[in-house]
Amino acid sequence: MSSWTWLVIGTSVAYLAVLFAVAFYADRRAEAGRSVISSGTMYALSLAVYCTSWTYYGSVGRASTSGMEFLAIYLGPTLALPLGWVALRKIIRVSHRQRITSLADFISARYGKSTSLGAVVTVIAVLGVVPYIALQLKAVAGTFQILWHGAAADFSHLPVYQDTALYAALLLAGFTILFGTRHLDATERHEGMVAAIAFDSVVKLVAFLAGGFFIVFGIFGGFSDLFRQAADAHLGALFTLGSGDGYGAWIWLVVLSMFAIVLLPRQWQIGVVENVDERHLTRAMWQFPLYLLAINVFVLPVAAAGLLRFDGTVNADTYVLALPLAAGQRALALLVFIGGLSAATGMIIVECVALSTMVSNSLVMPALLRLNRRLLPRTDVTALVLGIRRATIVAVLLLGYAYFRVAGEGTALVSIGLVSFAAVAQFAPALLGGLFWKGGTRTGALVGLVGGFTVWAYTLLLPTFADVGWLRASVLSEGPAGIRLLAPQHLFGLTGMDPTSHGMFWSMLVNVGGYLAVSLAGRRTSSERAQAVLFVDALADPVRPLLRRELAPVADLRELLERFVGKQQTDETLRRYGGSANGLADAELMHQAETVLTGSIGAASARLVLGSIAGEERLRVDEVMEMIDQASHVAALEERHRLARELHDSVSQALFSMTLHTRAVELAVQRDGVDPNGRVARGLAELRSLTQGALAEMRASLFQLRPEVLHQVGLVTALRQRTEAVAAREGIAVEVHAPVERLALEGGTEEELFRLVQEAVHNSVKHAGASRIDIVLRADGAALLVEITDNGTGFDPEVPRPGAIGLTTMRERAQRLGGELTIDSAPDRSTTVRVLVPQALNGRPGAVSGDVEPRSAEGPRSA
Amino acid sequence: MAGPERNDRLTGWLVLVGVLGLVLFAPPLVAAFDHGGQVLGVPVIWAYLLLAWAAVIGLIAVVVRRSG
Repeated sequence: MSSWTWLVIGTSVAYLAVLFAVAFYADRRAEAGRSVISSGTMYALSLAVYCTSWTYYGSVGRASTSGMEFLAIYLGPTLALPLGWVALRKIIRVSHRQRITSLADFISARYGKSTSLGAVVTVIAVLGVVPYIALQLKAVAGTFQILWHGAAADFSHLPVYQDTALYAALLLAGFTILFGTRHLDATERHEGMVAAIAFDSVVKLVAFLAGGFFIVFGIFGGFSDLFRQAADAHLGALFTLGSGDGYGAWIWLVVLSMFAIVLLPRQWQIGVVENVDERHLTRAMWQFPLYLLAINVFVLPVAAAGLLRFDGTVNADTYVLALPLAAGQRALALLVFIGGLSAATGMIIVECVALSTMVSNSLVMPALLRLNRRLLPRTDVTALVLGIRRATIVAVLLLGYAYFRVAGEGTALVSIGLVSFAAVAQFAPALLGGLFWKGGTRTGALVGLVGGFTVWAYTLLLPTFADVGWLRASVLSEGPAGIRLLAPQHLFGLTGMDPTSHGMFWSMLVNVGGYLAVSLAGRRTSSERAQAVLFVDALADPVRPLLRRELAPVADLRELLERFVGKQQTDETLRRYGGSANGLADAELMHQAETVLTGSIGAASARLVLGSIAGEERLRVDEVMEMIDQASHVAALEERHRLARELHDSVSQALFSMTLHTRAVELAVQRDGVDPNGRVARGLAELRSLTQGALAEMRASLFQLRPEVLHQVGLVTALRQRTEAVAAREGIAVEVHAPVERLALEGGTEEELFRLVQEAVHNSVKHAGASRIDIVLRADGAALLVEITDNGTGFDPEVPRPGAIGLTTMRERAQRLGGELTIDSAPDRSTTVRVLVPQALNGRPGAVSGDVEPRSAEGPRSA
Repeated sequence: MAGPERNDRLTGWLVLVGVLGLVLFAPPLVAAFDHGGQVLGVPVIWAYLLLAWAAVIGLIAVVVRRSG
């Protein structure tokens, strides 16, 4: 190799070293609390990671055949930022609140923290972006070969070991690993990387402008001279949008790029995850398009110049490098090459970091956790996660290289990139639907994504393999096995569209249609509902519902957190949110723990991991009851149903069998002539009564867990059963006086009243020491009067009593029903709690009101 | 943090500019300049797209800056 070649290699390596120094410096500054990236301009510059080799080299190539069509890719983002401002702010706010660190995690979290959805998004993102990575490798390798052997050299059939692209891929993999996976941070933010990307952006802009300026004003005599020569040479195609018949392609390119500016993994990483302040968005909104404008001014002139000078002997993608080189400007050529290198490295680093986060958090970790929950306590999880990420980076780059070898060598850069744009656009319906429509379901999103991606693979990816002979060309023209209707680029006989428009039309039709139809036909689970509210109303600052009801010992929690996020952050979390006196983490702490874990291993995994230490098996039934009493939130419903079903199937059934067996033994003993008043018979009678008591208790408890059982038997019956259990347990008399016919109460009303009476009875027993309680229900027209009277010691209703649960709760319940609660009591006499609900009796008996569903799928069952 | 009302107003202006951009870059207008001709020695479509683009960026900057 010549000294020139060594100079090129040396400069490239030196550039990467500088890049690393920038990152290192920024990381140090960040640790010292003096961030260098905390400004709107830095944010805008880092967003310019959008401009890759595609922009740097590919646009010129595209312009040489299709005129100004390439520009659509940059107009889209310009319009997407102002039009999507609300959506972007929602995304950023929700992501920071819930510590969401990737697009896969975001979509998974939106639809009820679904593991399968996160995995699907990850797979689509990885497969979709591989061609895009291939594009960068192709550009780096190709331009290096030009510097080495000259512009017209043919380097398309080198053996693998001589292929610059392979070495570039391996070098960049190592570099990305150094950048992105040095340590694990719960916020998944990489200040150093962002600073390096911003630096990259400056370098590539300066280098491209320098190249363009020299070509226009150094080789030619300015714009007019260049364009006049081009017109004289009949290069008129340059001066159009290259849209021979119609503007379908142009419009699709604008739309695709509008999505791409957010949905490409690297754009999500920079725009959402690395965003330090929502307000930077407003400044980036005009500075970022300004950057795009600047880097695109010279594209068409360079294309014209290349066509004039080389007349088709040089690959148009490389004009910006080949022209200075042909003019003998080696130093400038080197600068242009370094600019192109920075465009490629920036893209590859951020893309790989984003993809590796997705793969580890949304694909591998959930799978490992599901396979073996006990694997975790024995493993150093931090090292495991970092290992997964490093392996992912290498794998993605090698996949990119493989695609380049197979399908990329003969294809223009922009055509390769467009395939990727179309792939990530498949996320748009699930994402936008999830941000603005509460009705989208997990299954809907799953069907839409898988359907759209399948169509994408068939109509857009498959043909790239046919172009290089992996597939017989007849498949494209005649359809597979000669079935014309299935021809990938003319599906169902649809003609007259370019391949991109055609593929986007069908994939979006399937994607949007599937998402909407399946969502509308299905039901949402409670966690999907809760997340829908948090996402759609993100800007309205909703009160955050407490989602976790299972509590875990603080010690367990500490151990778990330390394993995933390290000691420092664990200490900080525990100090900030503390634990309660009984050594159990409270709901707020559990929520924080989940948030912190989400940042480190993704929403779905965090949920699984916390479940492993806060499983229901660790909870005593009375704790569950207490929590359920507090809980009116929808997220707890699902859990309650499951618990109720299990209690019903196991404990209730067992108790019922026990009463039968006891009765049978009693009869048998009688037949054998044992003394009916003897110890055995009395013991058996006692046992039977205890068992029946326990069964009654259990049935009553199940009402609390499963409101629909309450609706099935009606309020009065439920109250009778409940109070029977209390009476038996406490040894007091409780009577329910109510009309014989069923009260026509709405489901929600029934539940509120049931709880209210239950709380009043509880107070009478615990605080008034009553020995007799009378419950009276009286209907009068639409009004319902409920009175709970006890014979215990009263109290002064004006003086608040600590310990008496829920006088306030009871009042609130009454208010929710549109009724009124009065307490008639004094310290020296009995107490009467009176609730009057004026409009209670206008519902269908047992009808469930909108908000307290869901009912269990298999319908009501007996308790 | 900007008040909700100011944010609503900014949203409105931004959408307006965005829609203006869509109109400028969509067929009827863009097609009118897409005839391969030249003006003042440069291609019409090149000049039109760059100028319209710059105008949209300028408008966004004005809208954003006025809202503080």
